[in-house]
Amino acid sequence: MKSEKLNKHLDKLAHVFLYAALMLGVVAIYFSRFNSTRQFLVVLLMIVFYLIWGQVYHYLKRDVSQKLMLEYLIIALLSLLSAYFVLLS
Amino acid sequence: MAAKKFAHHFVPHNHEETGSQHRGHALENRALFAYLLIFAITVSGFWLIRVGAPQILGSASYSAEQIIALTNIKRAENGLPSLSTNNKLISAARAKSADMFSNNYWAHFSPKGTAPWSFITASGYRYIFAGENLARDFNDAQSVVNAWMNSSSHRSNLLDKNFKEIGVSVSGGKLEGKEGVLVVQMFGTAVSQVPTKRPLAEAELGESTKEEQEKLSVLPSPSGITAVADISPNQNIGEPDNITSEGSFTQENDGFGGGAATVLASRQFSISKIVSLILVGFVFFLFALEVAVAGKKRSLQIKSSTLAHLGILALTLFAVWYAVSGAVI
Repeated sequence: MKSEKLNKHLDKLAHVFLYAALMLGVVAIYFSRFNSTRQFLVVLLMIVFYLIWGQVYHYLKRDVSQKLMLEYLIIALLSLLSAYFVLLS
Repeated sequence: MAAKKFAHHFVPHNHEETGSQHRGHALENRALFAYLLIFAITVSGFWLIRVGAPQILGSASYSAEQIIALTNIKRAENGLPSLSTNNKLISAARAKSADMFSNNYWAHFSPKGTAPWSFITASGYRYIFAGENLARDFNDAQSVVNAWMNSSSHRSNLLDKNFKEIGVSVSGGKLEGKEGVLVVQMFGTAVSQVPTKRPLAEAELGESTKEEQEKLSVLPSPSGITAVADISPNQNIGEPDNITSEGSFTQENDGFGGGAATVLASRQFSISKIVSLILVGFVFFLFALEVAVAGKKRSLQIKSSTLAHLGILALTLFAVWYAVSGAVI
């Protein structure tokens, strides 16, 4: 019961932290208008953050698995490729 | 039954035998990997087309004349008089553009230290006020002027009441290893247009050299650049700077309606934006659908990783949606 409550708190806190960082990313992208290289760097930074966040969060939740990490990696690569395609190529 | 099976491709569900929760099949790692592969192949294909046959991607065109017209519209909207086109400023803008292509730089000052004003004086234009705005890789004239209007320093050049004349160059070519379009906008007020009581250079700069005068006269700004007179009305104009027109640029256009400059491969940006929005948007939609369905059904739970995926995909969609093709300095 106690562990479930802790998990819920962790969930909330972790997601608030993630979404706050992503909002910062959105603001940074907005302020990097007309500088696509900088916009790409912001997206890259956010993707790295997302991957680290995923690792730490699932480690704390004790549900890390290869399958889950692969899922994060594929989504990260999809985002990265998309940002590269539009902003840099 | 068939409909239910079909729905299982897109929405989360409990396995009939084990009862455990499953994602929609379209969100399984295999499917996600397939999207990634499709995207990678598309990106590679575009790259090959851009290198081998950019004309397939289509082209957009705009001219210096359009840039000047739009600039004057913005000035009129702000209660300012129109700028008249000046041949010498056009030559200066073309020379600056050629210099950027041949020396492979994208800046107000060349790597050799040549200031924008050098191109203006070299064209024979004797100015009391001068300014320069630069833009690159935009798909249309409206986007160029909008980008300048959204940047305070460029906007102040565009809406500067001191300027009377304008010259614009739109040219395409290879810069920093990438095909693109450069727009150089030169503003000026000729010495002859201002009643002069005393030579400014004498009054402010004494007997300093022309180079020193240029350094002193430039009012730096973060982007977009302005200068106040560096020569007196009677001062001789020095020899033109070492401006070459042998750069790799392919088209040039002046403000006198010499036809629209063709911007090769410019459609690529729009195409890549649409492709990215569709593909990333599709994955985002599937995850959003999972959240919506799992949120409604008590027997299903929202997976914690889904919310994280939605976050990063939303950020990517925002960046792609918000991306503009060009840059201004």
